[in-house]
Amino acid sequence: MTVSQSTVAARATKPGHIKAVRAVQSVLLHILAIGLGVIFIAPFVWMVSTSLKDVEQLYTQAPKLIPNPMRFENYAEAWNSLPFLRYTLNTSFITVSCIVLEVISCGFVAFGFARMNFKLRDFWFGVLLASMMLPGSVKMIPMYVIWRNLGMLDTYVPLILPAAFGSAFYIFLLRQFLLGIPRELDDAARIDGCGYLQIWWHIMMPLTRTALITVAVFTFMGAWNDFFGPLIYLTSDAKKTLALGLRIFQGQYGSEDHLLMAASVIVLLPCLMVFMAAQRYFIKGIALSGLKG
Amino acid sequence: MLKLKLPGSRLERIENIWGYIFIFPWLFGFFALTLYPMLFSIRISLSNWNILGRPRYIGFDNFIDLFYDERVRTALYNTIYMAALNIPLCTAMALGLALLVNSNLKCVSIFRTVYYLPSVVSGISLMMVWTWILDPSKNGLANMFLGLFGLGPLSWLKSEAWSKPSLVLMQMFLVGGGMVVFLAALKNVPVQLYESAEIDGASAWTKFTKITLPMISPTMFFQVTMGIIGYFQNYAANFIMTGGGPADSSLVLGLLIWRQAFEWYRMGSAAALSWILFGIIMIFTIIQLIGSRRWVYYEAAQGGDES
Amino acid sequence: MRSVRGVVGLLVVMLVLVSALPGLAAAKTVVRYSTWLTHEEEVVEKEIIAEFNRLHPDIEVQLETSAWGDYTSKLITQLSAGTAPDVLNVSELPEWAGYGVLEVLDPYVAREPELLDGFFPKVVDAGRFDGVAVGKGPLYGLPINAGCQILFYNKDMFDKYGIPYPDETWTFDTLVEVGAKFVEDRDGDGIIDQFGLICPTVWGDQFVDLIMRGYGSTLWSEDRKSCLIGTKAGLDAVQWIADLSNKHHIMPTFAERTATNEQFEMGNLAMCFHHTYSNSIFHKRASFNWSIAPVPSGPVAKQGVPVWGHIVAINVSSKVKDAAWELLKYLASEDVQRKRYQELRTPPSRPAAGDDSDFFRVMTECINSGYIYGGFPQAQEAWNVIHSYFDKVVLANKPASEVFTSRVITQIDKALSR
Repeated sequence: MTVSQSTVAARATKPGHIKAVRAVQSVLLHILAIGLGVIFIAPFVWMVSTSLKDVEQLYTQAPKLIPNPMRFENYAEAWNSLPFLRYTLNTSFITVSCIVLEVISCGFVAFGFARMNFKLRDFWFGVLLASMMLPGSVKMIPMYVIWRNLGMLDTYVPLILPAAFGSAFYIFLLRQFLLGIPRELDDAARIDGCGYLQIWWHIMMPLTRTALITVAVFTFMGAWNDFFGPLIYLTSDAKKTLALGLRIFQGQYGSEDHLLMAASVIVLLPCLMVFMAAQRYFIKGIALSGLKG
Repeated sequence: MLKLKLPGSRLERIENIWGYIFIFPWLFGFFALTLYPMLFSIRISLSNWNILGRPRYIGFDNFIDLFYDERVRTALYNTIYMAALNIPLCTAMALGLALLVNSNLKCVSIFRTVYYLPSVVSGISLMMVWTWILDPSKNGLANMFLGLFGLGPLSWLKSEAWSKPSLVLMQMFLVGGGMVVFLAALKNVPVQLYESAEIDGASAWTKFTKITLPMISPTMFFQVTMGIIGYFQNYAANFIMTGGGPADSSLVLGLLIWRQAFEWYRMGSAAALSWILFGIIMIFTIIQLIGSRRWVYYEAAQGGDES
Repeated sequence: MRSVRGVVGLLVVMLVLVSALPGLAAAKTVVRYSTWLTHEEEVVEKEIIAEFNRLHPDIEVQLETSAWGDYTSKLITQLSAGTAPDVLNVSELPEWAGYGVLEVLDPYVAREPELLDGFFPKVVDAGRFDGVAVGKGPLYGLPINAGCQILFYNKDMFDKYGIPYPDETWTFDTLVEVGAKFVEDRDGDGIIDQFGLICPTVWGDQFVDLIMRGYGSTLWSEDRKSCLIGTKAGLDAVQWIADLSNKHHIMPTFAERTATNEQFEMGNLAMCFHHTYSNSIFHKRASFNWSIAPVPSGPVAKQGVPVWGHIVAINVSSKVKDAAWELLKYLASEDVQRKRYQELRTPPSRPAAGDDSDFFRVMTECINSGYIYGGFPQAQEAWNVIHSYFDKVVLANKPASEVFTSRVITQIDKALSR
């Protein structure tokens, strides 16, 4: 009787105890998350604050975090300083094209490196890694000469076409994810009569969905914010991109920080929206991983 | 387990062909776009080329000149110093954040976005914001923060001793990309593994070291390798925020290469130094590759024998 | 799969929109003109180009622009690959002229001998390069504006302290003496927050050369093969600059400077060495009265100030050089320069395009009594070496003579020989 009583008591108290510990842990976790969040959001807050200042508040001894008065006209001024709609359209075209090409080609190539056995595979993978090890500064001019010889200067081809061949960085990333998927899945599919293409498209692509979304998000951020490629390859005003347009607020003898920040906030918003939207798929990853193991 | 790789060489041949079909896009891109600039830069590294004129072959003079150049040694030291600080700290930060936003937080999507935010802000605005944060006067945000604890003010970017750590500190807030990669990896860890461990009464720490770390080790390997390859060449922050100073204390090889090429019109020397940097990155990558065999766990390589 | 179709559809629509660019007008000589500019300058520059196109119905000028920070690397790439525009705003004259990518303009000028009459003669000479240094030799471009080093001062602050404004009688010593009177802790927190002087350009070769001239020497030897910073005049000059913050403390130290070097605009500095170009910035930002004065003279020589202008030049491989020359003359013409001065406050390289303001009067005097700094291709790297040791004098507060040892001079001279 006593024994059973104590076990009942233990059963009753243990979950309660664990619940209390969990609650404390959860509170601590939230404090940590919020504390870090404040630090991480500080640059953005500063950016927005600067974007709302007038010239007088910009150049003072002790800058204030909350501008007074807030100058919302900065946004209108920044908007009118650039052909924003044109640049947004151009940038979106490049970005969307890059994402589509990059996700498909990198997924395709990574499948080869991760799940196929072929001669010299590890050698080529080493070459892939090595191709990232030479600084861009010395590759820039020969690269430019290639596109000049192809007659592709002042077009979007040099900015988009390389995505069709896959970027080494994303191929490597996807390969790592594909290597984490058990081998029996392929074997089972092969027994069912699936070809390599079907295994790639119907099994591996869905299973690495989280990673593919990651590649898509990164490609978006990379293409959206890239100014060096557009700087070198584009010369017509009408073809320029947002990231390139942002540069114009910095002059030789000083920059228009408030306008720069206002324009930067505008350019940043789509990135934020894309990131928020992409997060949905990170959660879906859990359900899919149930297939594994 | 059923052995599909029968001794029959026909199957092997087919897999060989398909393997090359799969990597063909990359192979084509490599031969069409990447190989020529690399070969070209080898030729240039053996030449004297002011970019605007014609290259003139000078043998190994560029390499000899670099060997005796004091600043190359300074830059090499700074590069390794910053990489040694940056790669572990940023990897840890990225993993930490990923674990945090993978836990049961309320409004987790807001936290994820906030942590990713600094990585999206475009280059110049971000550097400007950080120049303000690291302002050496008492009005800088970082110094205000230190002031709360009665510390500082520090000179941050304007001091020989602090310029490197300051830049790394800034970069620790730009790990949104790494966080996302780790998060994707964490989402791919099968929930069943944790469930069965919980039944066995495993502690949170045991679950982390015995399940999480091995399961995300391929991603960890990716992060560290790309950290080495990327960070050894990185110079954007050094270029914009410190210009390599003060007193060359933040001069890194990538910056020196850029300067030699596009500020001093000495592309031959820049190409030679680039290949030296290539060699250094290669050595560190190979060391890391060999080391990784001990700790990287690939599900696919196990052949599924475990389940 | 519907999403895939959506994406493809979106791409097609975008492609159509993007490719719907205006077609090129035929049968006109197309001249490509490349310059760096800000969004405000862009508006004015586009008006100038539109006017030129109207005046020359047979020529079509296409403006290619980038931001200042990106301009040089873009142009170097284009010049290297042979795709550079016909007319260039020159950001690095010694290199571009020295490495043979700019057309020599003397034959063009010979056809129109009176062409150079209306310019400041020294500013025109700042567009010459003889293979050693800028200042003499063949002419490579026409100046579209003019500039010099100058002393800006906060008039209100001088009035408040009842101190007479700086003038041409000032020496380096007066500067230190007067500057010290402004040093103050305004908010009483024990940290000095108002200073006498700042040199945003202190870490530039031109500024060190200027101070060295005051001590009777120059930064580089005549043949540009050696650096004279290790001489007595050189060490004195370096020490004088370092002492401004380290000894006299009339100039903020590294740590006391704001991150962006915008302390003059903030109104807590009495004086500031700067380019005359900064007047456009100060006009926009400063909420107090300010003016300019000549740079004080050194203890050994009345050295004057370095003079220069931004020059536009013709790409040596251009196929339309005559049309390019027309554009060059137009960009440097009086009307265009007056327009830029009035709308952007960029000081003109022609006295007639100026006005009767104090600013332009003082600048004109300074330009006429000034000198040409004489840049050369190796200067950038050599200066970069000097700069890193300069930091040591200031940061570690070491005597200049202990930092600029013969070993360091050898390192600098090696950079000059490359």
